[in-house]
Amino acid sequence: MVMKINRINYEQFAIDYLEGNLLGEDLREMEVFLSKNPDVKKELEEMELFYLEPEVGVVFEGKEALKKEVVLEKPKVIPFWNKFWMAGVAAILLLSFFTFILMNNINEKPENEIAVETPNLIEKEKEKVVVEDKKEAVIDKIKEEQKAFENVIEKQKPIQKKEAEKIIYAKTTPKEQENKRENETNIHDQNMNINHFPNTNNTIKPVVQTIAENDPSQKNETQPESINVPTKEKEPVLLAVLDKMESIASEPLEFKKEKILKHTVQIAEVSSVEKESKLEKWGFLPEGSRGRVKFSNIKKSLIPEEFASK
Amino acid sequence: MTSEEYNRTVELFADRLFRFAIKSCRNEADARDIVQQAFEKFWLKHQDVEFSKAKSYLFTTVHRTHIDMIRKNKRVSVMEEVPEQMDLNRNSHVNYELRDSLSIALDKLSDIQRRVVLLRDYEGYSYKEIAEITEISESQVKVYIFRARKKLQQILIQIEKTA
Repeated sequence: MVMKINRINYEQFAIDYLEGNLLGEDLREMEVFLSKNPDVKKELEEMELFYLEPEVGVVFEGKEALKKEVVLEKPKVIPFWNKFWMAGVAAILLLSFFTFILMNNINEKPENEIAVETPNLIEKEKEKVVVEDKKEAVIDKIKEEQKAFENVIEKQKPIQKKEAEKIIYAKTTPKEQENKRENETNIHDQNMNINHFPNTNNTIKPVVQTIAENDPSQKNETQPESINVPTKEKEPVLLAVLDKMESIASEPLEFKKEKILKHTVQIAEVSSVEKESKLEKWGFLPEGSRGRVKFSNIKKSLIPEEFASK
Repeated sequence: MTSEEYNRTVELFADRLFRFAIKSCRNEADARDIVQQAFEKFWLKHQDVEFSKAKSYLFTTVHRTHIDMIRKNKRVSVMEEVPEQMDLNRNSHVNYELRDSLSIALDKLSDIQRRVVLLRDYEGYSYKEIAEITEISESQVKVYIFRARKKLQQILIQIEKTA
């Protein structure tokens, strides 16, 4: 609010008007006042402003007496009870702050967070199971491959052995090879008790004679020439032979055919076909079952009636 | 402020305060006493005063001390008339001869007129700052200064006529 200028208060505006510092409404108000008061206007127009110039050379003697000794300012000392009080307040504030945070965390966690975490756990468990399954599958596959490899090695062993033997055999001279074949044949024959010259063997005759003596009804009939019919004295021997036959017969009959014949009959030098035909003829082999006869089929016929009754 | 800063204020403002005090009270001895008392008061409060406020604080203290001294000696001069005889100490180290008419005219002003003019012209304070130092209103400061300038003009014209 612009103060109205009049003859009483115009002096407080006069110095600003003379120095050019009166602006705006105050300036207009002053000009209105001056227009209404020409004597004041004339006074201000005739007024010349004089400014004092500071005197140079005025010195205050005694400055050193005014100066004080410079002392290092000590930091303000806070009484220890104030420190304890402040420390207590600080501790309480800190505890309150952390308690507030903890309570907020506990309250904010509950269901949502568990609901979010549970699927993750299930997925992790599933992933673990899948990984374990894969591991087991790989281990099984490795084991199978190892077994297959071992089988191949086992199968290759006899082949390798034969190959090795062939190599050794090939390295020998023809004469050595002939001798070797002969030795092998002899060993084989000895093991199989094969008599290549049955006609020269006299053991058949007594047997046939014994049968003839014990069974006169069949004296004139054609009797199996090679059957060794047991006597009372020979009962334990026969039983032992039968037991041995049984054990041998448990093996494929076709393979042990000659062994059976060896222990049961003494046949003349005949071919294997003839042997079987004879056995069939004697009732040892059922018709049409050549090569596949069980020992139980012929065991009864091998036991004499006198022993069978027992 | 620190004691070091206090000593700096002594170096910076002691001469100017002394000059202001001499012009105000027109007595060198009184001016010296006024400056010493002002610094003693200031020292007691120096820790509570910022360095930037030291100058105003010291001029205010000098002004108050001078007022107190006037009241104590009952040498109150409310008259704006120019005294016939200058009360200057002619045995002072400083030559206070009236070297120019303006200086003589200044001495003929009243204490308050002289003080505000000195603060304005010598120290360059604004009217507002002068009002704070002298503890009067800004409008009153402007009135005193207007009257002081008008008086100076009249005195100078009179001096020129007598010369």
